[in-house]
Amino acid sequence: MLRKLGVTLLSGAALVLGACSSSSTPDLCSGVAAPCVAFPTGTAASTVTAAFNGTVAANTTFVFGSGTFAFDNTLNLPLVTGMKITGAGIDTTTLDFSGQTAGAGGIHAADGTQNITFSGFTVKNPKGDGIDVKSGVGVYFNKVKVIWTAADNTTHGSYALYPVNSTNVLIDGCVVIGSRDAGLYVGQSKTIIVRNSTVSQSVAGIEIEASSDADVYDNEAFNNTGGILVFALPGLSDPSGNHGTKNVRVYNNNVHDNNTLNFGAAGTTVAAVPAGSGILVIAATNVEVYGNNISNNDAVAFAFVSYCLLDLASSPNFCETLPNPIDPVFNPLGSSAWVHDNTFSGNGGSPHLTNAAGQVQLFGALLFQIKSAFPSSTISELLWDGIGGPGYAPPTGTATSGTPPNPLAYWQKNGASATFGNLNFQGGLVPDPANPVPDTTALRFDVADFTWPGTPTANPPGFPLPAVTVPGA
Amino acid sequence: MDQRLFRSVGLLVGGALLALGCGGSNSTPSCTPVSGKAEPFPTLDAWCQVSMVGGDVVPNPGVTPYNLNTPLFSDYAVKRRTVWMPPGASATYDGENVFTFPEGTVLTKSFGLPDDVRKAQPVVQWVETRVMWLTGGEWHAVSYTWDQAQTKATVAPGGGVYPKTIIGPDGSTLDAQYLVPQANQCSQCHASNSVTTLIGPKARNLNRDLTYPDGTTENQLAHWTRLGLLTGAPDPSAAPRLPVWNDPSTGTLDQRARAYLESNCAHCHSPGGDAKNSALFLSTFVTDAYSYGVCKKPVAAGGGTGNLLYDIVPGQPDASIMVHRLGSTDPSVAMPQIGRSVVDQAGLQLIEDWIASLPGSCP
Repeated sequence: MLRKLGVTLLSGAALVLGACSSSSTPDLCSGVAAPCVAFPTGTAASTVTAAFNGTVAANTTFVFGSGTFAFDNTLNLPLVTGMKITGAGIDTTTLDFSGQTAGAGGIHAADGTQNITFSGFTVKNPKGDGIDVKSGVGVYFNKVKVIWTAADNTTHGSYALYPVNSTNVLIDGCVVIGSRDAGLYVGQSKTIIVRNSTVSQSVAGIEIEASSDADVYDNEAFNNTGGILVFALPGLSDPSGNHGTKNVRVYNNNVHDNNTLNFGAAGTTVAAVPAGSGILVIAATNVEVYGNNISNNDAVAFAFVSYCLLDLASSPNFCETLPNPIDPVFNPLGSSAWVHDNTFSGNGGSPHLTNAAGQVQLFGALLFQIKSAFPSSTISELLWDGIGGPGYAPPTGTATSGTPPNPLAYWQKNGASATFGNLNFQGGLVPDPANPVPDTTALRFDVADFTWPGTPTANPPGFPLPAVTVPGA
Repeated sequence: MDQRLFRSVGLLVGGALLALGCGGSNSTPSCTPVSGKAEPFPTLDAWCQVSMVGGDVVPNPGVTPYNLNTPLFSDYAVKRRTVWMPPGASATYDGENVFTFPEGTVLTKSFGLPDDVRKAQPVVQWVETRVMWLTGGEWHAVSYTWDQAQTKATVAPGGGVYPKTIIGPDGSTLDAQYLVPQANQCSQCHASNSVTTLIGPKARNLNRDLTYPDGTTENQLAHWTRLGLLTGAPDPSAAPRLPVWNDPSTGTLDQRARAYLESNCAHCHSPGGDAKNSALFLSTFVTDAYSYGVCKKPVAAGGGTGNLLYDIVPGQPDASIMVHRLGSTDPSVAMPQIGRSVVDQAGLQLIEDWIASLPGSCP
């Protein structure tokens, strides 16, 4: 059961409990269902911290007034069901962690929190992540901003919103600026919506990682290294076998100008993302990508690739021995991507050879190499690495029509034309570490860059996604 | 320099509530230790578990002190631990997990910061005494912070940061920002699958001799058994024993390094812990080298990687994220995430030596 810590709060006037009101300040709890705790403008962080560490009843709403509240330690939340933490508005209330000396991250929810809502405030300059929620059930972020402001973006924190190992996650109307990893990140989770949100100046804009049943729609991702990522990773611990990422829809998003040189820390997953990436789907299954505007991303508009490509820096590559003993359950190959009705413009014209630190980055360098080999054309709008599943026979020709080349993946478009490229990486994947810019001959990759001419023959039926139910949403 | 203000965010507590039990706090009290209720007492005195005597936090009569073979590092804090159970009650032995304690059990752990780590008898400023107690079948936890005069400790659920200048083992001046945890922060380490739990009192960590206040020396498992505090324990020679991390006579380099990692990391880095999403598991029971970090890529480290690729690169401590994070004091990088603001130089050296000794290489 939950730890219940009871300490009677006897501190003073700054705390407005329940329906009580202060005569000189607006009653922040007015119209808010009890129990409600108000932190009027100017309330000391120590008072805020004490309130969260005192007796907190289920379904308590904490209301911050306008202005800035400065913290020197992570704000740790109690394990209480149904809490709402709200501010006066996304740009009106700021929890400022610029002077943080203890704790890693801005707000840390207790492991296993149920039905928690964050709404209407900004978290500024946290050391580490913005808001962490681990093993949550019912996690709702509504109009929350996380921003890092230091000029040197390598000093920024990692993840802005970080629900992980959670179920029923809704991120709605949120804003992230400057994450050194993924801005809006949902990992090892299930039943997810990310919508109406904006991420910029981050390494990864929106990332769905090792998760299932997710809808990502009506978002804007721009000026990041990569706009929207749908990833699966090996080596995770979820005993349910949820290593893979599956059943994800990415639609009606505006993914543009994601050309910020990669400033992620080496060793992180996102450090392998080429600058100029629109939407990347890696080792995922059942992914539908449609209705997105994908424009002016310098490297590639959309890529559907295996984990092998993400692991280019390793020797041997993860894919050289399958099943890999590190994680025999993990399938590094994606399948069943259905990509249609997206709008492309101005993508793939100038991939970057290096990251922000000037280091050659293999995935990006690969695209750079391709572009160099075909100076008069751009990187295909739909790019596939050509790595199929066991028993997969690579296509023999470069021109393919009608049936998609990978039996595990469906590539289709309805309406406007798009270019399709097959990197044809079915073998000999690993580049020579001493010569990190891939040698096209040695690698045997074969760019089949052509316009997909066919009419869809059989659309995959898609897959049902359960509705995300979050109280108050 | 030690007397800088403790930035406490403790709560105001009515003075009338302070008059429970103990009298003067510089002498052995005449009170009787008590179990806790759902709400903590407003002062440490009210528990009657420990007293400040001669500048040290000592157990009251009937309260049993204990030590651990390999403890958590906490900014070089000196620690005093006690256990007390209601008369007639006893804990049940477990060879792997924390003992099962009876309803009403109270444990305390006091933290004092030394002026100079090199001194055998440093001047210690006592900062806090944490109390964990079992009531209604649930563990509760809160900290009491000591006043400047070292005479009274008052409940401080909001925690606080205590700046302290410490002379480190190499003679360098360390500016510790000692963290008294918020009550909610307790669960970051003390929760397993969202249930508050103890960390230290496991057979393998208690299986050692201790010299008790009456001058006698006895193995702690035998002592607890003899006092009736513990049932079901085998002879200490048949019980598991964790090495003392910095005593080579107690274990191999590998065993001592793994013990250090267990005591400092495994409360989060376990399948039910706060860092389960990392899939890096550091209890001594983990035998799969990948699971304890060898050639394991980080999952959720963000900028904490320090631009390094693997948690542990055999033979290359400087290329290992684990060393980078144990050696950092940046809150966004440092491990453990809370409770350490200065580097444990000897502990770091142990892990470096261990990684240097590991064979193999990473992809």
